[in-house]
Amino acid sequence: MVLRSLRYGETSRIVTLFTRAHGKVSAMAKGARETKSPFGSSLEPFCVASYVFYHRTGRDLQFLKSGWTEREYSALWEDAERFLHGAALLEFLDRILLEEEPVPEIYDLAQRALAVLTRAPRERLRELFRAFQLRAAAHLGYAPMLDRCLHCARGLPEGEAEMTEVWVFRATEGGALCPNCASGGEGGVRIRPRALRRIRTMALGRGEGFGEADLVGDRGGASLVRDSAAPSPLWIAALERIVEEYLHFHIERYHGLRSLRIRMDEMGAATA
Amino acid sequence: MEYSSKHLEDLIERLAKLPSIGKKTALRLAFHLLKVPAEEALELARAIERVRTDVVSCEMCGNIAETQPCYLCADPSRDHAFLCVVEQPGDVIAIERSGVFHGLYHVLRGSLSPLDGIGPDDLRIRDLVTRVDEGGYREIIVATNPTAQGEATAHYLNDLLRDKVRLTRIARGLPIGADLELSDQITLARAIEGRKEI
Repeated sequence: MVLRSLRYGETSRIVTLFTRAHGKVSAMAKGARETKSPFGSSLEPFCVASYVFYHRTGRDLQFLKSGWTEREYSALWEDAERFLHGAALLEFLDRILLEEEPVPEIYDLAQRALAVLTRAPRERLRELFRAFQLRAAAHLGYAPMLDRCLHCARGLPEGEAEMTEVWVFRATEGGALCPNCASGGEGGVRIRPRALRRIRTMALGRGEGFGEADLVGDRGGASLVRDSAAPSPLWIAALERIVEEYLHFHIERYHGLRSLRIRMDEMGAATA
Repeated sequence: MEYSSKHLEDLIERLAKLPSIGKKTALRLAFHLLKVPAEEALELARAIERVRTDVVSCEMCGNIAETQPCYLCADPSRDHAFLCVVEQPGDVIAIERSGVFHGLYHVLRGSLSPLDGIGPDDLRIRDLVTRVDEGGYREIIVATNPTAQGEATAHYLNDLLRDKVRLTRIARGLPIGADLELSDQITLARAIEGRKEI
């Protein structure tokens, strides 16, 4: 899939591909912008394609010969919010992946995530995107510890305490702290154990990847992909702050996403 | 100093800043300008000066112009009920060359591209909404590029304007001379969706 594409010369493009076998690859696609180019739609964002390229070790820019679209998620083009989150997904991958280091788990995850973004309720896109970020980070070895206290190893409480205790997520330490251990330090996001448990499910999932069953929102139980109820603003704010602070601190290459700074509803478009 | 003349060095450096021009090409161009008759080289300099001082952006359509409004917007013989929305001034030239459209244009100066940080506020979308609100248009033809960004922009405009005016999208399909068997799946799907009676 294409992570980013730059116009080059009169008819060519320089593209950054994310491939299953070779990881992230930069390549020159000569004549890609001609009407009868051998690449067709394969160099468009949100298309999953097979490519033929000439690979030479040590060369920064490989030569792309042809591309053939296998699957397309062009439904993402048709809705401003989905387009924005799909673009954010590509930008995120471009930031966190290293050149020519294959991560097939993230490749498969990204494909499933694109498919989910095409059909999930629009109200749930922000949570789904954050879930994707957490899972991709976990595949790179950056999973936060969310099931117990980082200091005393006390597990998340069950029952009534799940809703009454206030734990702290501290990005700099890499996970959650119980009320006792958190009292000495500074910073972090105050959060209920129940919400921490949901974020953990988002980050690790019960299944192999971006399955629907384990993506539960703030109400718990219902899948994010099917539940069109608007999430609570407090939950979204906590989730986004936790994910952003965590990724900023632990992944050096991550400096936030340009795509998410754009507001598509600025003009009052029918995005609600 | 790398070259025997400071002015030559300055010219080479400036030419090398142009897109697709490297240092070697800049050097070749600079020597070419030294070799041709002086008047020819000076005419190039004057043309560059004129294009920067006399060429403006039409306040109405956003196209490149020398007058306000541009000659296309001011032309009474054009059909002022039809407005064609394009991404760049170059697209106006391409459509004009086709000779089939006789309405007015609106140049967005780009397309929605979150990956490049380009959102609705960075394009001339607000001006388009104002033009449509002022009324008088029977149809808006969205002729943004058939790329992901162009399609997303077209859908965004549809969300904004569909309740105000009739909106159409230029047809997408196979180029003349293409081979069906070798055609791309999205292109072919769009061609079949957009089929019309013979």
